[in-house]
Amino acid sequence: MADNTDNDSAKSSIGLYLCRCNGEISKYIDLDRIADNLKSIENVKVVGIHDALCSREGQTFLKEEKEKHGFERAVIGACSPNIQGIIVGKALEEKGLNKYLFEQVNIREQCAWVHPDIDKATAKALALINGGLRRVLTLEPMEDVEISILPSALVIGGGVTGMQAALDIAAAGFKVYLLERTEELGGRAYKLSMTFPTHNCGICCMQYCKECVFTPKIEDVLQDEKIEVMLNSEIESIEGGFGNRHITVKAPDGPREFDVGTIIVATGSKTFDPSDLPELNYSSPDVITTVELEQLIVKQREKGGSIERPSDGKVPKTINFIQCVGSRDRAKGNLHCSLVCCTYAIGQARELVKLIPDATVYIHYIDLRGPYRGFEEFYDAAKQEGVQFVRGRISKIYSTGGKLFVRAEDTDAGALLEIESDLVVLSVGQEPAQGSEKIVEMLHLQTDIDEFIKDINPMFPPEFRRGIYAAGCAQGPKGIRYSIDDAKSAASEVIRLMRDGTVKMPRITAKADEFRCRGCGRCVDVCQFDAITLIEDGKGGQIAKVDEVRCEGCGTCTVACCNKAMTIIGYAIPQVIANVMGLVEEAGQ
Amino acid sequence: MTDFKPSILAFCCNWCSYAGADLAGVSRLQMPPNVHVIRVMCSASVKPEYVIKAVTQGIDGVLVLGCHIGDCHYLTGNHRTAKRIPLLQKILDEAGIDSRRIKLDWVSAAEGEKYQKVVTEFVEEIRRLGPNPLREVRF
Repeated sequence: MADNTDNDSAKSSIGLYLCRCNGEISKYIDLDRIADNLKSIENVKVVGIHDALCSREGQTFLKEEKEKHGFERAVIGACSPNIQGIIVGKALEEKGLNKYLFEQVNIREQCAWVHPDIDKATAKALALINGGLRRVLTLEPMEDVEISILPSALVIGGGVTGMQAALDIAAAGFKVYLLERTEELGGRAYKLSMTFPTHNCGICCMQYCKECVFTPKIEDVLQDEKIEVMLNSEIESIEGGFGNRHITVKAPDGPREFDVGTIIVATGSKTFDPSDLPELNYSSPDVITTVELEQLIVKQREKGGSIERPSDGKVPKTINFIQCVGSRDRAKGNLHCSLVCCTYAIGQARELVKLIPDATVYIHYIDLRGPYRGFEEFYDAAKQEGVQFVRGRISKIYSTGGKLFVRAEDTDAGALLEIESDLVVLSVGQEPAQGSEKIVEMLHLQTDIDEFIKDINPMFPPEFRRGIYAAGCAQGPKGIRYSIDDAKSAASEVIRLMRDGTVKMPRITAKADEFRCRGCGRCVDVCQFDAITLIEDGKGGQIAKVDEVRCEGCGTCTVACCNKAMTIIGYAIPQVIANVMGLVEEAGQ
Repeated sequence: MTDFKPSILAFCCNWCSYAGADLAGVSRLQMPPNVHVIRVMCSASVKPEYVIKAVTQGIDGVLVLGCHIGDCHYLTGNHRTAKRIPLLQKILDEAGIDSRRIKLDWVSAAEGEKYQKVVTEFVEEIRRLGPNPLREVRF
């Protein structure tokens, strides 16, 4: 145990408070017995029990107790620190308790609620609280790390999401660097012939028309003085940490370097490539993806006339749409549902029925998924217009004698179908954009099982990871409207962060002991976040130095260090050992 | 031997396993009261000496729980844990301590039931193994 805390008796006085949680804890744990047992411990100045510490009365109670007894450290036996710990800690903090001298012991989720036997649960709670008491004595007072945020943002990806985010941030008065890999803005949405729900041209998302005046416009982005658009550019490297990152971009006219405070990743998605699935016969010219059909429709719109199929320019009379190509089947692509394919296939089918009135259009689906407002009406209109919906998977697409056949099953009718087809359209699903894994790696982000960027908290989409937000299809398959939603929420978070200018992060970071460190560099090798560097120690040797802004506090370096020089603040060896010993004292009897 | 009450420590990472243990509580999944959780930021910050300290102090078993591989909040922390713990088990075996007293498993924040299962099975296992022989010595 740290000596400096034990010698100073005023500093080692502990206030111990137990929470009944309105009976939720006291029903299963005998709190009075615990209080009796622990109040005789040397450093415990006061023991209190309250009905609900997280309530307003509870907080007032804590504040009064703090003023009355003036303890320097506090242990709370209550619910999980991840649930109400912040509220309870704040009350004491207001009265001058350093929040790093506070320990909340979880006796509700991990004790009261899972053990029916009151004696055993009480014994366990006693051990846990004893561990907390031992631990709190070893803690040291700290201040939060204050991080300043530069007032400029980088948006990676110039699609609908990236453009919307850039426009919003620029409107708030901040400098935006908008990076686009291709030669034009607009992303994939710009190439669409029509979009849901207006069933109108996709270009309308980019230009002025009364259908969608609120969606981002390429001209606006290009004319905005605050937005610096970089086309044909890719990120070369990202250095630095939260609030101040140095970006090097590979642009056509040489490398470009600048610093940004925040980053929005809007790298978007690409469509599944069906050539790996031989049963789909994608090599045949008349088997096309929905993206290619979009181009046919756009071409028709420009040239007039009717839709012409790629092989011989004939107007197709029988058209089959195959749903879920590359989606919802791990063996054949990806497990996730791409969310937009049902909607866009119905839209395209309606367009084809309109353009070729005597055509028969089939949609082969597993089940139709369109959790959007207006989807059911859209689907209903398609049925009215004569689109044929066939439930069932297709087994293969094959050509014989210059003719194309689709072998399908109609599970509603219980029949096997062999449909001679002029044109087959594959509704391909969405995958993360090419090269996004490189950006994910550079920014130390996580990807989910579907390889899209993972949310920190799936319930709260714009939650950030150290100044970096993912928006739009980079974060999962999405339609245009939802990508714009995402862009706006990410932009508003970025703006808030940059307006504040600074942010406080808990000081749970690594620290190198100058006397113990001998500069071997093992910690540098294991650090995931490039937070540790070796510097000259002025005596001809080297020592490790931790960048507090970059360090996320995982503690990998503390184990790698063979000289016990690296510690995580709050989880140093004496602190964890004290916790272990406290538990052993009670539980190891 | 029937009155042997194993005392077990569990090092849970803050992001997955600790939250998984909380979820087990919220779901009221009953389990034996022998496992005491110590919160650490990442399973990769569990120093082997913490485990050794616990075992030499008479603790009957130690669980190390982390995020599933690929799910680590710190990207690859648990990859290191996955290498370190088997090594530690080997060392303990050499020192005459049954390595089955140390167990590494992955519990995500959504796996309250798995947490219950891991805890219940481990307590059973330790019960079968009997008390830690170092319980009487404690050095």
